[in-house]
Amino acid sequence: MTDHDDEFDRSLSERLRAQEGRVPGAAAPNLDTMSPGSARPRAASAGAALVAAGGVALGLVLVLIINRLSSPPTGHATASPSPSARGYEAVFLRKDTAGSMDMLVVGVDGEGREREIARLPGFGQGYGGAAPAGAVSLSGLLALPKVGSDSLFHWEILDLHRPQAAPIVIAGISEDADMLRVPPYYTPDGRGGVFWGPHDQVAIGWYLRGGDLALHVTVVDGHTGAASSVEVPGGTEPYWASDGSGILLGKRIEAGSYVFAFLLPDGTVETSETTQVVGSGTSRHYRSDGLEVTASGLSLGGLDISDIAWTAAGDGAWLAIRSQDGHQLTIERLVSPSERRVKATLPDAAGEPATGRPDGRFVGLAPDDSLIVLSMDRADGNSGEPRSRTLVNPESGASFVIEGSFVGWLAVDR
Amino acid sequence: MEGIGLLDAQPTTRADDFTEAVGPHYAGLVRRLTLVVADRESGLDLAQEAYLRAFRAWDRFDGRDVRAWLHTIGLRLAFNERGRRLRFGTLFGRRTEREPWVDPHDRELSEALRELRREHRAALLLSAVDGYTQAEIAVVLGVPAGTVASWISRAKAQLREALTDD
Repeated sequence: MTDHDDEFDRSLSERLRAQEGRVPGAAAPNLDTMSPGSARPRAASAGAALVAAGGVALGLVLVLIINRLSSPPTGHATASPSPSARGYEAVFLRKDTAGSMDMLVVGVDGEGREREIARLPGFGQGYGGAAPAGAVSLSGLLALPKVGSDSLFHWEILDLHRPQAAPIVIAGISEDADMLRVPPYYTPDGRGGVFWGPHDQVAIGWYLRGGDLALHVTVVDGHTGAASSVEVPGGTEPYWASDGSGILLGKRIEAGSYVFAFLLPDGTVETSETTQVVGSGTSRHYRSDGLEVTASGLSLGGLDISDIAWTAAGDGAWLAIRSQDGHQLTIERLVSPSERRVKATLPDAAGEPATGRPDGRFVGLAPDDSLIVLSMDRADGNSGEPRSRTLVNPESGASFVIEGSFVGWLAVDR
Repeated sequence: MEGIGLLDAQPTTRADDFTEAVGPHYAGLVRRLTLVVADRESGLDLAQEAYLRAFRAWDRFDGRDVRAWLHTIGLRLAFNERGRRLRFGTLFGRRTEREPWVDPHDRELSEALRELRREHRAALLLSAVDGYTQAEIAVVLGVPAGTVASWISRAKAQLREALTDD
């Protein structure tokens, strides 16, 4: 480095410091009135409804707590649920108990009936992850991340209404390909989704058109915003370039070797020589239900509240309340500040003396409130993985313990 | 009035602890994010979201460098969340451009910074303003140290070209 470079660096640091100092700051927001994203109007209206209904002190406190800790389910503000004849089923992923390493996709309805929707061979190294959850993605698309044998980070997109159709595969070869480590963004109708590149330039998307699951690569010009879509020919798989600046359309020709075409951000394509692919297989776990609240240790007016979630319509709240001995959990519907209706009473998850308290958390609420999925982690658990998921039918009060990972909702007809 | 009394008598010490530790760094986070995304409104939005996420994760904070922790959350949000909004606008034909923040006292630097990639801006600011090492920046931004070195180098080269006359 030359003296000239040093001088430039010093000058640049001073100018940057000065410029940052001239940016107007802001006072830290009040946690009591915060809610994520643009959810404030919904939170306020629901809170106002509760207060108007009674104005009792307990209600006021609950509104405060809900405003602080909870948020309306993502997408519910714009969703218009129209339940099919059978309604919504909760969809779970689980390993085959017969010793096979296949992954099963199982739907469970509000009466605890299970049906196998799809069987995914070769998912022994994989795991279930995020899928369209809540109200907005109801067409049955399911995204499954897995780490393949060659340590690529994959997502497989399945059409659950056509489970025999081959899934499309999207994979990343670079640790810079962070967009593949988070769930894709789904279209409001749930029939498509998109992974976005890190530099606002490229994206991989898919959409169901005419019953076919087609994979498209969308190229976005970072400056003009112009987007063009290219349908990927069969037999190729898209991979993110190591710097996120483009997409490699790869075709496997032998184990570990691929031939690529390189899709540039301007939409042109360059071909490449055979490339050996080596990548890392790290992954992260994300919740996608939009209902996560932090309520551990919350004690309120003698109630030991484990979790709070908005109702699907946003007109009230669901409460998970622990009994005094900590062995039971009741699911109650908060109708007004002075009225709670018990919907279901659940024993300790395993029916055994609790060494800790069942930390019931809402992880999924059907778009029409017809089913609730609870995580029954133990408060003293250290694995972070749920021991079970419990389905609750609020109408009948029935509950069913389900093995597997909850991944979303599927609208089905009789 | 039992409920209100309960709340008053037992203030949420978790929130108080959080506010006391993290609050003083909020204004700086807003400034940093505004420079990184070159947009005041988005900087405010991201800072608020980062603050809320930090509160949710407060129980898991290791207690070491609260400023770096807060900036880590905010910068990663800046890389993902703001871009998502813009990109959604692009995808569905509704591209919503906001007026960029420009420093009236050093317009030239503002405009040159805006031409950098967001990641390059963030790495440069962490290095040139905060004095973090490349290894420390790598942890904050969640990328390899080599990538950080490349980003900083490219950012400086681009700024040198834009800010020097010869």
